[in-house]
Amino acid sequence: MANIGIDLGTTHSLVAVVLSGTPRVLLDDDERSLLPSAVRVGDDGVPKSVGYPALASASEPGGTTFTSFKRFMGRGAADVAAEAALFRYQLVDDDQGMVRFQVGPRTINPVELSSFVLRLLHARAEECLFARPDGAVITVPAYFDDAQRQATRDAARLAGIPVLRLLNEPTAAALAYGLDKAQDGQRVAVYDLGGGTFDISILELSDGFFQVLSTAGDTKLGGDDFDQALARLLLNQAGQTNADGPTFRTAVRAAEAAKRALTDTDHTLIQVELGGQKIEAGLDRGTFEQLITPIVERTRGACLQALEDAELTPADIDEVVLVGGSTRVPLVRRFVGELFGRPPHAELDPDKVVALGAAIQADLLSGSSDLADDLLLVDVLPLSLGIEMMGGTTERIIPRTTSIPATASQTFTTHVDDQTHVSVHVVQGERELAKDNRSLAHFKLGIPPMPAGMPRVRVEFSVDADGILKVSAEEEHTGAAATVDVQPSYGLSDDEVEQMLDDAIDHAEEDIDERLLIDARIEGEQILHSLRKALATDSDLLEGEEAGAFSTLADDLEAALAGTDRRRIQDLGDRLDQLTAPFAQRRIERDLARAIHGRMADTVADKLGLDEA
Amino acid sequence: MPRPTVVCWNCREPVGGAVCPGCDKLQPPPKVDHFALLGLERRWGIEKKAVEVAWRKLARTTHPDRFAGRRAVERRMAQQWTARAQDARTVLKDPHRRALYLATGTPDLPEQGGPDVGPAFLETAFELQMAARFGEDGVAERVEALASEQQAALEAALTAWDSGTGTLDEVPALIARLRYLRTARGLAREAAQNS
Repeated sequence: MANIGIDLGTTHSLVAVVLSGTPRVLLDDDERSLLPSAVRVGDDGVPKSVGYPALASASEPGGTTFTSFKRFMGRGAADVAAEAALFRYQLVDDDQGMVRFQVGPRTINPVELSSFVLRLLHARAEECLFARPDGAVITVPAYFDDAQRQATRDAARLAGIPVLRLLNEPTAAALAYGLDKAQDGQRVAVYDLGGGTFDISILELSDGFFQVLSTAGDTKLGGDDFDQALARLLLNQAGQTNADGPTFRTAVRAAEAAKRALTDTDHTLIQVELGGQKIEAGLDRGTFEQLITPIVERTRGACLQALEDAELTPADIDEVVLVGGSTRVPLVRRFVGELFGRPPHAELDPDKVVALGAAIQADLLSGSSDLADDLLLVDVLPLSLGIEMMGGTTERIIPRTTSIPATASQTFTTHVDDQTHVSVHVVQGERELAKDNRSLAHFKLGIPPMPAGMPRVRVEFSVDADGILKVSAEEEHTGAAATVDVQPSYGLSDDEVEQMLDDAIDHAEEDIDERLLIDARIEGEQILHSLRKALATDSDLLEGEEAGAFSTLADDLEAALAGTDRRRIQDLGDRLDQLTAPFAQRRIERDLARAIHGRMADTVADKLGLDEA
Repeated sequence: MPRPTVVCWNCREPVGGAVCPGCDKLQPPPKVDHFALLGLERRWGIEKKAVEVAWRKLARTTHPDRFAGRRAVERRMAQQWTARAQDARTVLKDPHRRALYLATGTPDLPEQGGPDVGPAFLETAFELQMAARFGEDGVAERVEALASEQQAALEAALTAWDSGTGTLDEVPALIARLRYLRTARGLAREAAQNS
């Protein structure tokens, strides 16, 4: 069966699938491809809606609409306090683990919010395909670190979706453009400016191998920043420098609309009411570009870094691909064109290109694709993995841009006599001091007491194809080794995931029950409907006690349809179907006889050359 | 490259490659050296390109993506294969690491207590490092001359070994010497930039 590709984006998400060899983005009931990554949670702590309805109610009281929660995936409260304030989200800050938001009596975390979006996309796919998809490829920014990837996997697990692979977004984009079909040894730069994240990746496509040579980026930079910059300008003009949540969000939405308008026109009019004050302002593209130039410029450093890491210059790049809705902004296109000295590809919708690529990879992984034997995606580790040494320095165990999967190990010893344990602090990043890198995990390994320098503690890192790390440690002399699977510092513990999963499964069962009830009702009504139609035209074919038996059972079914007992509806439907089978058979025979008779009459009329009277 | 005869963990058929010819199941990576893993001849004179081609061939058949729909045991083996292949690839592509790997079984010099480079060389090297640090004239040229001498000796030893004569005994020391000279070269460059 089908595997699906999901682009779990900051501002919106999509699902795509390869059908008869062509990747297609799947649409919702209103023929829309994008699902806003937005979840409305009521003040009672209950999730109310996902997607467009959640956005539409964003400025209403009675709840919080969460958007851009991808930015908070796998992050601790301290990492994101400033951003949460920007979005006016209420953080729970008593906490060690992953960031959580307070809504009324309960808290909700970004993994749960993401799982609502995933669940809806999965359901959309199930509806379009008339079957439950087998598994999904979910895209992540190439720059996502271990904790963020783990969080993405946890969200899928929570949504009950088997993840085949986490795919880097730029790799997906290159796949969608079919750049693999071009000649060997070509280098592609993928410039991805989304709502909340920026990535630049340099890929080499050769001999059917997609290799990410380097990636760089900023997980806190995107089109949202354009909107916010403009929104702040509007709020200043309205004298609303300390705007509350709803007012702020109204300003952001007005800013976003203006940004979109300025993609195709040179001038737009902003009309918005902020905190009771009506603002009407003309904005031309030049002014807007002036406002956002510093933000766009922030992408330059990462582009140059990625080129340097790949040991290339802009002239070595053969193709440039644009991804992300924010690359529609004319200034961004000009910037990219100038930086790489060539016009970027923009034939595919930059919002859809990643989902299309994910669908292609999902299809490759199903094993049934024709391309499967020729193509292989080999990703690299985005950021170095290492551990903290004595004195707080970082010892790199696996350097960045190493092709993954990969394993590496290093042996360490103790500095004090009779230590009974060693502490291992796992970090990710390029900085020399461990405290400047991202803390992934802390764990302790118990060892038998030995003189300093005697123990040989072997720490092994292994990174899977999704870029997710597992660490184990072992004291080699004694063999008294413990293997420790690492829990990310800002991830969710297994217990937490299990708890959330339990909750989700409870709901899922309710969902499924409801679904089955609906199906049973539809079927029951169809049986009743066709029986009534048959009785109206062919009651002369009824034999013996049939009329009475039929109507008793039909009445029972009708009564059951008004209730919620699915099994009773199914049971009565089945019995009525069986009971009426002989009657149905008689009707078919008579219809058949009539049809033959009719044709014979026609034939005779033809032969006689008569017109129909 | 012949591998010892083993049987498939799943169907007990004898297998020679990564995948069982009987039941198509992926086998665990064999306990062989980097050369054998990539199916390369155990010698120093190998082109980078040849390592890359051999690695690709192996990755194509053993990458986890090839086993996405299979059971966890095969997926885990695929991961081991790819990690091993990746390790072999990075070591064998680097001429010095490849040489050390042939000579000592590990691709890197130990952090402490490296090979004996000889007291005379050590004296020269420190003298050069000092001269470099103070930006003495002509120091860069002297470093380069000594480095190419050592490099030539290294290549001669390795080439001879490839053709079946001589030993690799001197290889670790020669590479350690080149490392001392690299430090001196860096210092000379720094001094030149500062002046």
